[in-house]
Amino acid sequence: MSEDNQNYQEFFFGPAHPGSGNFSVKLKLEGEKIIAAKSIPGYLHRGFEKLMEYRTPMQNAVLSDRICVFEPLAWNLVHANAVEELMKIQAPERAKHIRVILAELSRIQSHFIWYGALSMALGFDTGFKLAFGYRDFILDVFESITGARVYPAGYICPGGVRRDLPEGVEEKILKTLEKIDEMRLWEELENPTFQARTKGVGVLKLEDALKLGATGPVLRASGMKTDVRKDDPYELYSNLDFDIPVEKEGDAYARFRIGLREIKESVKIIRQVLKKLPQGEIMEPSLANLAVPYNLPEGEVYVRQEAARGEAAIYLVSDGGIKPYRCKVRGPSFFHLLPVLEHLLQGEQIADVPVIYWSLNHCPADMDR
Amino acid sequence: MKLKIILKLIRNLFQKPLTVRFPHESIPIAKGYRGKHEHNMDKCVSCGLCAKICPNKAIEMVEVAGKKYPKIDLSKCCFCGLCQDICPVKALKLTQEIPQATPDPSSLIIEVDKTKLDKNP
Ligand code: SF4
Ligand code: SF4
Repeated sequence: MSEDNQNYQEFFFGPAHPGSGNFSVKLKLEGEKIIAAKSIPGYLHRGFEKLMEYRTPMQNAVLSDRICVFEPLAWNLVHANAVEELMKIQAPERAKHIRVILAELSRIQSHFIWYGALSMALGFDTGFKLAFGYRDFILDVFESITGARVYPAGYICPGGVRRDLPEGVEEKILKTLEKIDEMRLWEELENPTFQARTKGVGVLKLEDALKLGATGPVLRASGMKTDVRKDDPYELYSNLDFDIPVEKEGDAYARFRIGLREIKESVKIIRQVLKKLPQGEIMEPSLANLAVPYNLPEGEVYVRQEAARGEAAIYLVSDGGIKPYRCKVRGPSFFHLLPVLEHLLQGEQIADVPVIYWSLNHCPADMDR
Repeated sequence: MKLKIILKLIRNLFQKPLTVRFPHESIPIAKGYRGKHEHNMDKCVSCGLCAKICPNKAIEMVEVAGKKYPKIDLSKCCFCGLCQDICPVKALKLTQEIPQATPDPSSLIIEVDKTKLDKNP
């Protein structure tokens, strides 16, 4: 298509492209080079912020699963903590331990999806199949603890967790950790094609990353040491020993390395928490009876946490009723898919679009809400 | 590192695949799995709490023989299990049975079984 005597083509990546997943980018091409990119969000908008105004906190806990398809448990935890902070209560110790174990397992499985999707973008199908195969071991653990493989249905709910760990699940988790280490070994193989296609591709400089609002692994891959678990600790994270991996290069390869190293740290965290898992209550007694509705005290809170793909936050306002007055969801992918992606695609080759796109570890679901 | 990987590769040659041959084999479903509902009407006290907490409004209270019972529409249900947790007499239970895909929507509605009621007044 030519316009004003300029020779360029317009080209859509997504939303029906098998590698794009409910998200679309409009590319302006000059030959093979991208001169401009425009993200088109909205294909997965479900309106959680409005839906949550019509439901009680327990029903919202069930709803909060669906904000992000890849890591429902992380969003469960953000929502539960927001309600608890508003009500000024704390979950019992045992519930806190269970929550951290599940949040870290959820981070690992999300990083496996990340690796799988990145491999698929490179045409490296073996990596994709391995990642999804090994992810199933983690889903088996979720199934026995929460009652479903992907959506826990508000397992982490305001006041604690919905049911206690089933018998013998600790051994199952330890066995799964071994499987995770095995998968890490495969990831570390890094065949030459993988390196050639990711090194130096989609370089995000630190000042750009900060300006465009990148968080989480994307920001850490650009050289900033930041992690909400350390900067603003919640649950048990202040007493746990783990490192924050940082890389300097800011390219797709550095982001892949961050994912790989974070899996190792998460395994370390789970082993520590499993060792000191206490006995006792799993639910705050005042909220334990579902049949008795409780009021959310008047006020507002903003709770942020480190999800696998960056900073996940919920802003909750209450006017004193049993339902929240307003709920705002801040998804990390919003910033990675709109400003960051548009910035990174400029001047790149069209063949690198899927690699850059998936290296950002995003989920269109939490961007569109 | 390299040696570890080569050893693993050799071991992998003799390992079973990660997948199973589905219709012929399947992986066991965990004990606490949230599947299709089972409603024990003899226990039900018609309190209506399950219909109240259901986040998807999948439960409707219908009158049968002078008493109200929950009618569950599985096509709206997200299998959260809140109805099971809230039921004061444990009349509703989620079983390990997974509802199958069907072309007939009416087969997904768990009606109140009148025949059972007549036998156990
Ligand atoms: S399982 Fe959840 S969605 Fe389904 S009927 Fe019960 S309360 Fe409603
Ligand atoms: S909560 Fe239980 S007892 Fe009450 S109406 Fe529902 S099934 Fe019946």
